[in-house]
Amino acid sequence: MALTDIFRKLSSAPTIPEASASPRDFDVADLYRGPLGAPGEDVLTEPPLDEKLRQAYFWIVNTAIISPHYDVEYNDTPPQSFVLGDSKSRLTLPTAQSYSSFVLLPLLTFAMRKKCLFIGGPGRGKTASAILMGVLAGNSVRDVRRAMQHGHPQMTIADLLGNPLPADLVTAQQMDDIRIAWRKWLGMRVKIIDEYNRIPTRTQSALLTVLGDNYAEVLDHVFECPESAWYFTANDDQGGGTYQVIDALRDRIDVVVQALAFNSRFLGDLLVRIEENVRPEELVPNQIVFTEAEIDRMQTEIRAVALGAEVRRRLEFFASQFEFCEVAGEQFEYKTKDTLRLSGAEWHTQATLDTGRDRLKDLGCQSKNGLSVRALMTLIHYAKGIAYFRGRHTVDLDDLRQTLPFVLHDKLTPDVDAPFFDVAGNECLRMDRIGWLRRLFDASCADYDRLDLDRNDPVAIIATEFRAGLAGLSAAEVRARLLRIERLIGEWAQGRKLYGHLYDDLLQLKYLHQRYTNYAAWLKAQ
Amino acid sequence: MSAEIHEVFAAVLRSGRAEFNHRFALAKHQYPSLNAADFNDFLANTVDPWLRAVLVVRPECGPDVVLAGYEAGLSLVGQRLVGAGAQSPAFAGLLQRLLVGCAGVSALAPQRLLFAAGNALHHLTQTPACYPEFWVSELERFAPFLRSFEQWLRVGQVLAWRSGLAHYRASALRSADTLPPELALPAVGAGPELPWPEIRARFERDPWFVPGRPEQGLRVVKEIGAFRGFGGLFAAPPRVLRCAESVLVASEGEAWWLLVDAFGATLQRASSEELRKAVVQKDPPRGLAFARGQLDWQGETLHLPSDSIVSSFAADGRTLVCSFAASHSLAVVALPS
Repeated sequence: MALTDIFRKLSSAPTIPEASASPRDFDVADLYRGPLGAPGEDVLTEPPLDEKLRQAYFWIVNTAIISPHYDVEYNDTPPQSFVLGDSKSRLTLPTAQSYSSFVLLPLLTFAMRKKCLFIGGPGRGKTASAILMGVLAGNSVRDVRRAMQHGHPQMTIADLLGNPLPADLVTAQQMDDIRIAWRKWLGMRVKIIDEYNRIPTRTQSALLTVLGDNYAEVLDHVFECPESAWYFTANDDQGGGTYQVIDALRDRIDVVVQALAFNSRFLGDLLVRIEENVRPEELVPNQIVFTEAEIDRMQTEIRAVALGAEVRRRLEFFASQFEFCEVAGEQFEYKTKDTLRLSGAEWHTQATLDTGRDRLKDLGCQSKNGLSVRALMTLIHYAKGIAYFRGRHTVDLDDLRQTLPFVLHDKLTPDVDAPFFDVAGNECLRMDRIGWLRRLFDASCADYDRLDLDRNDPVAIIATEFRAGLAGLSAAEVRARLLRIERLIGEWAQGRKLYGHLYDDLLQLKYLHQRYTNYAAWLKAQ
Repeated sequence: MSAEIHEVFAAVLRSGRAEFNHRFALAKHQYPSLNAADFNDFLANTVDPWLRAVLVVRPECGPDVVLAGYEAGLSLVGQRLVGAGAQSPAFAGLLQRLLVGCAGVSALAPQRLLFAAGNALHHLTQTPACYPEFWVSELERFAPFLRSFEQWLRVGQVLAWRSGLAHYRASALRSADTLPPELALPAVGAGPELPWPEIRARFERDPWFVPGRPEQGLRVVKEIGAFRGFGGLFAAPPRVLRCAESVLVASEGEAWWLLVDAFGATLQRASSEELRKAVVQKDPPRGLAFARGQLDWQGETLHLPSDSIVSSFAADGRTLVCSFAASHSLAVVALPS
């Protein structure tokens, strides 16, 4: 029997004391959990998967990766904060369990089988973190290392996907006769692409197929890949790699995390590793290794986390700020930044055209694009994921606020020439995208509160009425509803400036008006 | 290390000297307060007697016992659960007694049993008004009859409930269901006269049921809670609330579930969300009336432990919990059926 290593010690469950599902569900199995932990296997019962995920997180941050950064902050009472230095830097001491994004986001990516990009300078633990995720999936360190793809300028599609067998190439009479020696990594459930921005563009396209459609193709032969979590690393995400990363590939990456700087106060921990010859990735405790079935179950449980209407409305309001571009089109539906982008017109000249709006207050002016459906879906996934990780059954606004910057990091492009970035104190947000996105979301929520949309949202009332169904509605009632829509648009037309959220509301009103009009026509024909 | 340890112990330590020293050095980083003298003392006075007892029944398990004891010792001494300044002075002695008393079954899974026993004893010694000595004595008594480590765990769970961990009542009964009746019945303190399903049904109906004990009348069963300044939980006189079918105790914005039965009473931390859902019980059950310092239940009078006004109460057909305006203690009253 081998000794359980001190480095294999897990945090005691429950890692969140308040996360118990039922007040009276005191489980006597907890009798055997405590300060000694549990050796080898848990006694009698396995912990729930969210608890296991938290234990994995705490094992990584306490033992494996030295990341003493709590940048994903939660508070249950007002936190203390201090202003330091000439630049008035604010340091906040969170009052609830807070997390390190560098560990948490990759772990959520693992649980939901998504795609994560690590960025940051060399030697900061990007690859080591990705390897840990591979080990959490039950692979040996050796297998994970061997399966890791290292981007380099000579990387060919064959290097990435596999070769036709040379003997078959000579003897084959038809394509079906050629067998392909597929690369082993394609079958892994955690896929790691190191320095992906050093891969030549053509090979990136082959990678995109695997990434986007989950299959690889060589000479008409197809290899179906299993559902997997993906980890990419890049020293520089802003085009500084050997090759420019193709947009479609970047767009498919769900979340971007930055490896923060090493805190020299933790040099002692490094010393222990050197002196004791400890490699944390080789010491992952069995209790936090997830089986394929467990990951499947975790995905189902994460999807079941509820996202209530109050949080959803704030996300809708936030998302509606960015796509609208008043000068981009003549027809209402085409007044979008995408129309401007597709036209190839110069962004700068169009963006600054005066439309009477306050360019400082209009959040839409801070970005060069809007949010894609994929980005919104990813955002919802990660918000559910973090709520699940925290042992919650519903997503709260903080969950959304904390995940949003990492999901939108590469999805929402800032217009660094916007007046917002010239305001004193905001200059650094040109560089700090996480900070900018968090500020953007806070500003959107403040706007939402100012407009009192939780209590006074006429479009939501009209939409709810519509969702109740048209069946049995009388012609008089339809006329009344049409009139109400027209009256509301008329009110808004009285001198109000057009902003992104109004644009989306107006398009929804037009949609509802059209649906009622069609129904009225149908009623008339009866 | 004492020269008197068993030769098997000495041989195992000798054979892995470098590795053992390496483990100690690692543990020292994790637990800076890890004390070598306390650790040696634990090996000599807890692990060695356990090893000797195991060698009598399963000599081949000796090295496993040493390895398990060494590893657990690092954690126990490092966290000051044993040794000088231990949180509970009784812990080390009880653990040693238990390991020796359960030597036969412990040989089946030395490491798992040691860890489980250590964790369970920690719970029992840290929960007020529990009886860890009872738990250890009963397990010693059961040990010769246990056929597997799993049986040891299950019996230990049931006995922990009877040792005062009242919040495990329902779950412990479910554990007892998985035991053969010849173990389940004595584990809950019952004789073989009645079948297990009947005994279990009695437990479900009556929180004050103790097998073999005649039903007692109206009485104050327990006083629980104290002022935080005197080592209790409550910063201010608590109030009693109801949440679903359970009793919640609130004081200064904090809340606890109160779980009581014939074997114990424990307060388990409740969340602020649960506190928000709790309600004040306004109407006492029919036949119950309060007067200053006493209560009347169906014509019978009972003196309460405090003379001050009853500030809140929660009652069902068998149990009444009341708080007092000028006391940090709660009174738990058993109501006769």
